[in-house]
Amino acid sequence: MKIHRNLLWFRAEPTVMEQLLSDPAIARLVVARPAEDTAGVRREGYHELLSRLGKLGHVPKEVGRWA
Amino acid sequence: MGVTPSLERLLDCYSSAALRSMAGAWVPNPRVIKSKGDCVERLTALMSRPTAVASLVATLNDDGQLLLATALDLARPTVEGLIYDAAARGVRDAAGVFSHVASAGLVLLERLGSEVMFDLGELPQQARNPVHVLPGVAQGLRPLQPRRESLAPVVPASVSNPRTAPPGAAVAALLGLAGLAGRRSIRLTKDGWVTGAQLGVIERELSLEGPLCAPMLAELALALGLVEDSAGRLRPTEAAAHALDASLGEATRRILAAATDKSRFYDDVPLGDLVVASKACRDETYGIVPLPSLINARRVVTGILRRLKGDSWMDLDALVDLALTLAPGIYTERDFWRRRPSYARPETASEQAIQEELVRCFVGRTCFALGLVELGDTGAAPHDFTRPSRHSQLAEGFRTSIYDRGKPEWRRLTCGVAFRLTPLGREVLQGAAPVARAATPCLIVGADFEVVAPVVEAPPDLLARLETLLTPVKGRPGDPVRRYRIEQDGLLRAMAAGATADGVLDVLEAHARRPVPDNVARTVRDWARRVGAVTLYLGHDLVEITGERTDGDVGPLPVGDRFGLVSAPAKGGTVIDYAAPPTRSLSFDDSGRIHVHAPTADLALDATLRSVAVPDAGGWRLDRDTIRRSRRPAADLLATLDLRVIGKVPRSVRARVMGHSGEVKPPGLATLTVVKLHNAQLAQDLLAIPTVRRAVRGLLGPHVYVVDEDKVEDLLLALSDLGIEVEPGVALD
Repeated sequence: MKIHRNLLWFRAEPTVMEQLLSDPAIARLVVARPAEDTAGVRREGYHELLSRLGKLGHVPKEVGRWA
Repeated sequence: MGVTPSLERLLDCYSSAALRSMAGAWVPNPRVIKSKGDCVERLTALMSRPTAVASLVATLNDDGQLLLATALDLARPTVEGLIYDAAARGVRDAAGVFSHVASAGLVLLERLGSEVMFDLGELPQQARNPVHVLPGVAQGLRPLQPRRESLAPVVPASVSNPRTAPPGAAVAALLGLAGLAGRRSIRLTKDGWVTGAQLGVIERELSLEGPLCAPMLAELALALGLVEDSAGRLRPTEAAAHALDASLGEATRRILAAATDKSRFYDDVPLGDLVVASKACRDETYGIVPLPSLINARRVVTGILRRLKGDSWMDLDALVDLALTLAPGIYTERDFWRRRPSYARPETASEQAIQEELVRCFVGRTCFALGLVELGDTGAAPHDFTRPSRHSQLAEGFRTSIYDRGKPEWRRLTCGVAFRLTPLGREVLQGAAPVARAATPCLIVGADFEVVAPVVEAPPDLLARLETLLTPVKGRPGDPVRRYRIEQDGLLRAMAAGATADGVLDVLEAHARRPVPDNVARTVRDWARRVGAVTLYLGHDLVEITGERTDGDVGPLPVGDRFGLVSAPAKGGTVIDYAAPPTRSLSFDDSGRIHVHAPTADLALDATLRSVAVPDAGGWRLDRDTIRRSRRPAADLLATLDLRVIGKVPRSVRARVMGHSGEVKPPGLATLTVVKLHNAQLAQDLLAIPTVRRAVRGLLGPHVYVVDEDKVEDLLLALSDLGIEVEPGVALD
């Protein structure tokens, strides 16, 4: 078993995820894509991701907190 | 919630003399009690018997009974709170009544820290000490009717300039302030007061005017929990969206409760210059009135307004007199060392003037701003509701301290203001039936996403609702309409706080003169769909099952077939830390195929490979179409491969990446004309002749000239002059 640590994961419906990843700024932040509805971003990309999501009109729901 | 101490412990806080006097109310001959311990023991036994307590309570007059009923109604009464609340319910000389009841031991004081033992004569002075009511007191209380107060009515014909604040304006302004705190940074002082400059911002942005002033609004919002001090800045709380989400009467009742319970604004700071007002709240000129005194004044006056009979015009000065009869020392002087309040009327002229104006300002400004009272003038000039200066001419001409014996005692002038409760005031204060407010179509919702609400026609609770849902457009004080924009940011914020698209559209539809434009409705619904469509998982580990998967391995949040999200830190596997430098896990074989070292491979590497290569026989093969689709610059891609490869990226792979990326400038295809001589020495010798040398561009070999197309004729001519004829179509070897 592998444990992938220290990435921020964001999930959305596959169609929504495709729309989000068609944004070059978000696509540039994504470093992992374990499934079509999930993408991983480095911790330092958190604020930029929030900002980009906000500009695309999304208010993400946050689950958990950084350790 | 504190724990009620035992009777023995409470009685132990009293001095022996106090206990002996207290025992006089319980036993016929207290002289037989010899020691304090004996006294505590006997009193505990008697006070534990509800019938004995009830029979003693039954002997009290109505004032005493009312004070005990008040104590039972309060959650955690203190001495000062109980005395002022009893005064608010109509108990005359509440401090004296308290002293009588406490001396009989029907209420017992709790000691704070290491205070000296209580003496009965000083019990009312223990302002902050908690009060405990004996069990069994409630059984001895008689059913008492509320004490209604009446003031002499003022003839309506003598009242001019009647005025009321729009009911609900305060609710709308408070919600507007919460919204403003979310949009702008409103700084606070170290003590948590809004600075003068920021008060100006609040006043301008919310278009405030009159008694609904920014200092009052900010303090009320803090007391209500609509906003909070977050690292020196005002921020809306999570409860802001729902704190006043009630009928107008209920919302106003909550605001009034916040004002009378804990809000610390001064009702009587000067209006107008906000910087002066801001400083006035903090400097000693205004700080001479302790904040608890303001709360006490509000409690007493609110209590009178609750019990006031009749709905005719009444003289405000008569209300002041009544309030000061019930609580002569609203402006509580405190003993500096022991913090003891004096419930007596203050002696100096300025102090009397100040406490009278406190009552006037609470009614004339705060209650007026909340829409609870209607004001009218009975004097020639309108009254200026502001605290009189401590150093004014008024104070100097009269006795200002106990040393000015020769000066006459100050007598106040009448303020010339009449008041009466509004329908909202009767609903909030006296429990009258709510005034029916029918929803009238008054909003104009434009296809350009602007909403216009006429102030006169729009119900205040509607304006309050719009403040939370939409983005207000800055206006000017006195504007006949309020404008709002339906903006994505504001609407998404409201939706994140619980609003729904249908809820927003229902509010607009219910009050719009014409149906909400279709483009507006569709856009609002489209925006709403985006709320919560994306979920961010912070502090979660992604667990990857690398072997045979069994059910439940990936936990409650599966991601695809072999991954699952779990709260960090997950245990029991190889940790791949993405905060650490990446490991080198790639190698290339001679054919350029990529091989991955599986145990250290991570998802970032997998994503990189997927963007440039396709699976091929257990490895990966660089693929032109995939590389081009990724749109990653070749240099970026090569830099990534450089970081992840074991050793160096082979030259052939670099060439492939460069070629597949499409970034290589297309090479040109050119046709050359060459002249081949069969003798190398001759070829070199001929170049010594200038006409030949000028026509030759270069050499392809020792005896092959490269000739530009336009120089061919020149070369042929030069060679012909030398007697050398050139044959066309000779093959190069």
